[in-house]
Amino acid sequence: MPFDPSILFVQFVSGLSRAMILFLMASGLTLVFGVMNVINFAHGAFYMIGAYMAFTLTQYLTGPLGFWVTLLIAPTIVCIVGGIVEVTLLRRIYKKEHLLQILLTYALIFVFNDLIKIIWGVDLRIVNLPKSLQGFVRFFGHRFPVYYFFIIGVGTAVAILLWLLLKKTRFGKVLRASAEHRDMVGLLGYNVGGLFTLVFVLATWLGGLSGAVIAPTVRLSLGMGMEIIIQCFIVVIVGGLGNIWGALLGALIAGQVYAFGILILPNFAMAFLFILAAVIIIFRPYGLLGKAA
Amino acid sequence: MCKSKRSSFLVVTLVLVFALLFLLPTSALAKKPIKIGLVDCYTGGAAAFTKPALVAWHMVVDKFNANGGLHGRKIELITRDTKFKAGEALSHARELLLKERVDFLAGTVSSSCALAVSEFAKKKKKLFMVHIARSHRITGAKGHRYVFRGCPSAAIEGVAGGYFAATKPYRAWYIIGDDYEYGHSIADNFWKGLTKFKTHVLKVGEAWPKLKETDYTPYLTALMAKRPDAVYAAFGASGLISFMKQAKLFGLFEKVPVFAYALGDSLFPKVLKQNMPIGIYAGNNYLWYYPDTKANKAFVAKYLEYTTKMGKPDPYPSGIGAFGGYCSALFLTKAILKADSVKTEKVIKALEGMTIQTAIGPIKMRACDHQAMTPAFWGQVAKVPGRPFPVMKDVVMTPPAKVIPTCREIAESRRAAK
Amino acid sequence: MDIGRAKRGATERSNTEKWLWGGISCLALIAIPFVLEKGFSQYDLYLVIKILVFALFAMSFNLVLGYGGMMSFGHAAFFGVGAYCFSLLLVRASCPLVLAFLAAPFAAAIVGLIIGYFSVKIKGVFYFATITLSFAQLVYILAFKWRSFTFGDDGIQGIPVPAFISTDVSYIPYYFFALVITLICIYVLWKISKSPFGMMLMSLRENPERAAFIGIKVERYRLIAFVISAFFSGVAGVLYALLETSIAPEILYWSMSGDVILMGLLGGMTLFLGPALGAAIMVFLNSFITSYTEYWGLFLGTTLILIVLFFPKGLGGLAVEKYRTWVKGKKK
Repeated sequence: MPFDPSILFVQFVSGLSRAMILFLMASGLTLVFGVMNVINFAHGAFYMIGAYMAFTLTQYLTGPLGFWVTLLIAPTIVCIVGGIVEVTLLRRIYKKEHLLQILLTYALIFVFNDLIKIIWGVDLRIVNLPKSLQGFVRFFGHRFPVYYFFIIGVGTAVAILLWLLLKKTRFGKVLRASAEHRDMVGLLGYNVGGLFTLVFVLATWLGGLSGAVIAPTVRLSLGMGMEIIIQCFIVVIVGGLGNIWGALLGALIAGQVYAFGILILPNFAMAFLFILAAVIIIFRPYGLLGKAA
Repeated sequence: MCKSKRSSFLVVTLVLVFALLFLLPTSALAKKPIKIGLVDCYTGGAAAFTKPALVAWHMVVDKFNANGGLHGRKIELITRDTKFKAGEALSHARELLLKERVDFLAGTVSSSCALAVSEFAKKKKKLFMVHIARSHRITGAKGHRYVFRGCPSAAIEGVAGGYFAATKPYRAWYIIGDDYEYGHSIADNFWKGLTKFKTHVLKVGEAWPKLKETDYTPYLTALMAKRPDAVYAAFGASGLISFMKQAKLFGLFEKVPVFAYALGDSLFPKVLKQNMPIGIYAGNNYLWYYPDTKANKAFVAKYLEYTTKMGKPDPYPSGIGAFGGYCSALFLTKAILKADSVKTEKVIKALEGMTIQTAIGPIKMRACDHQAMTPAFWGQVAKVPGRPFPVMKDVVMTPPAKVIPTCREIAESRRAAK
Repeated sequence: MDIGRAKRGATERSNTEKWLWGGISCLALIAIPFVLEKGFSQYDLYLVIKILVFALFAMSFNLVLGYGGMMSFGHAAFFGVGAYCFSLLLVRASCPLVLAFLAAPFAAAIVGLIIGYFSVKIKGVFYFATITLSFAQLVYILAFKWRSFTFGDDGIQGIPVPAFISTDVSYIPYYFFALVITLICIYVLWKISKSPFGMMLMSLRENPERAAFIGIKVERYRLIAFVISAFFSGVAGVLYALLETSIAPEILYWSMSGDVILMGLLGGMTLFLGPALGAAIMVFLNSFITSYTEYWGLFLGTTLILIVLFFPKGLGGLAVEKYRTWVKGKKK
């Protein structure tokens, strides 16, 4: 099969955009993992709320700035919900076993799914792209939509900002210390509980943002949170728990595996992510950039 | 002494009468209802179709009851959610049949659920009316005496697509679809139909993204790189929307003609609105605007009136959901009246070969396989003045007789399956 | 002498109590199917049989989770392989029942060996969960896509159940069949958990480093537990196939693995019979809630959240605690 280089380049770009979608969705999950050592299955629900909020907001804010205002408001609403969830529910189970944390957050997806069903109903919905991002870029005789470059940009920005936050700010240093030595940090006078709430709020903000940003490319339906949570989970684990760059690397590999995999084995797309995960964990039992606990 | 004996006799009688009134179920005094157990998926994306189908069932059942029912006996619809799982569907079918003692079973949107319930209905010798599921095996290889389908089969719709595509001048085809049974089935049947009615066609490529894929970009770029003459999109409903949105972003529709069955369903322009791709070829089993007959207009008006009463006015009935449910419900209720009974064997006899008059003309329930002979509509999406959203123009109706598998083919497939 | 007599009396009494409870349980187990089918409906007996099947699945799974301390998120693979292997042998190869019944759990055990071989080396709990999930999903994808062999997402219908345990007319014969098989398997699992192997497994769960330090091959023990668990999960899968007579790839999907984890959690993983209780709760809850409301997610999710917050030891653990405090109170 003659592959001319322009096709390979286009596939590479689409692999990149897919990677950024995965990373955006997974970023909040890896933040919570990394700092609080809690696995938050409900992250899929926050993504879904973000998407549905984007739908409702863009219905009302129809002006040229409507989409941008939506990107500001939707994640904020989601993170308020996240904050409420953290304070009322999650707080009580930090000291409990992982299994109970999983169970609680898993149960939350069911609850949110039905709440969304009650509020928004069962119809399928879409969100429209803003006019400013509707065009496409031409190269080598192929077209690629501008909006995906926007997603790549947002994903990159999120990665850099998260890294700066965790590595360069004092807040980030305290967070990382709390992950390892929670009680010690508390003894030093920091309000660890408040810190964790803040982190969770930030993570749900990211979840809501990813939902709002990705929404214009997909259809909104009940159960969309369930669909992405396993992908997010795998990307985060494959990259190494708690490592932002790991999640990004995992997402990049997954994106390119899809992009080129479908050229070679178009019939096995369903299996790519799981084969990738199994292979990586066998050779790197703590993920690509993860460390033993 | 006589007086006390008489009064105690009276007391005892009164107590007995009251006791009887308490112990007897209230419905024994009223006419026993005819129970229809409807199992379907009301969770997730499928609910966008199953809810309208349920509304249509209610519409038909309400009319049946309003007209006096069957000698005063009214139909009671009992629904259960399958969560799109065959195990759940089967479990609820058992509950409905064994505990609620329904007279008939109906459902589902998912083919695996339908096949599982169908098998159960066969064992229990109870009638099962399928109203949305499309797998050709339901009335084909896995069909039997007790299962009926009031909606189309993928065999009919796929081949009808091929029949329509054969009238166009495209030779090099690319097929892309959801990687599950329905996607492959409709694509295989499309190819069967196309190659039957047109020679010298070739498949330049195919792609099968997984179900519920969020990102089709690598598929779109690979597809466009192949530069086919035309593309056939074999997606289920929810994959179709995401794919169409992203395909529009890539400008696929300006480069190559796309054929997407089901996109003609009124649900899609309602969801996609200005993202509705113009110029592509779409189809469906029912269009609210074609044929533009009195019967169709009357149906649309009736549906609007009923849905307004229910609180969610819907001026454009969907083909996959509402019309499929409507026809199936109509077949069953009319058969009950024709048989003048709810006994399964009598209703089966009444259903076989029965024709119902619908908004798009008469539809016959074929006796040899219990499959409704449904027409398929294809056309080109365009902005037509006077229509609230893009609809199809130059609509062509494929009569079912031209594309439905023959009774002999069905019989052979059933023999082979044994 | 008085004390001796009192002591002997006490043991005799507790012995007779044991016999009494045992006898009542046996009677109950025998009477239940008749009471349910004649007094209520066949559906209720069907639910009880379903509980037996999932109790076996959950208890086999607990060998790996509760005893072994390994959070496998891919056990649906073993359950599903048992069900599919059995069904395909019957439907595609017209294999006799006994042969298929024996072959299927072994097939599940072999799959357990393969998956376990790669997985037990993985120490991190979430990494272990992910690799087991990934392998299980690959099995799911195989069943889903290999349409010419497994019938794909249409599933297999009409599994030929032999007449003596057929549920066409009554569920009672199958109840006894499933009950006997389940009790035998549970007895074997009980013996394993109480054996030196079981003790070793639990100590590995608590402190794997220490065990490795004194030369125990941690991975070998875990692998054996994994394979045994896979075997009995496969048996549960066969029982499921015989009960439902139709199966679909969804039984291999990760949500089935999630369900069996939930059963363990609900019933309590530290108790031997805890997962069985969890299975009973899940089956009933699921049937009851879905029959009454379309918002089953809301009710199920809220129930689970309440249980996590207020009964973290599972309802079985709670019952045991309450029983212990009651006994203590009595002694006073």
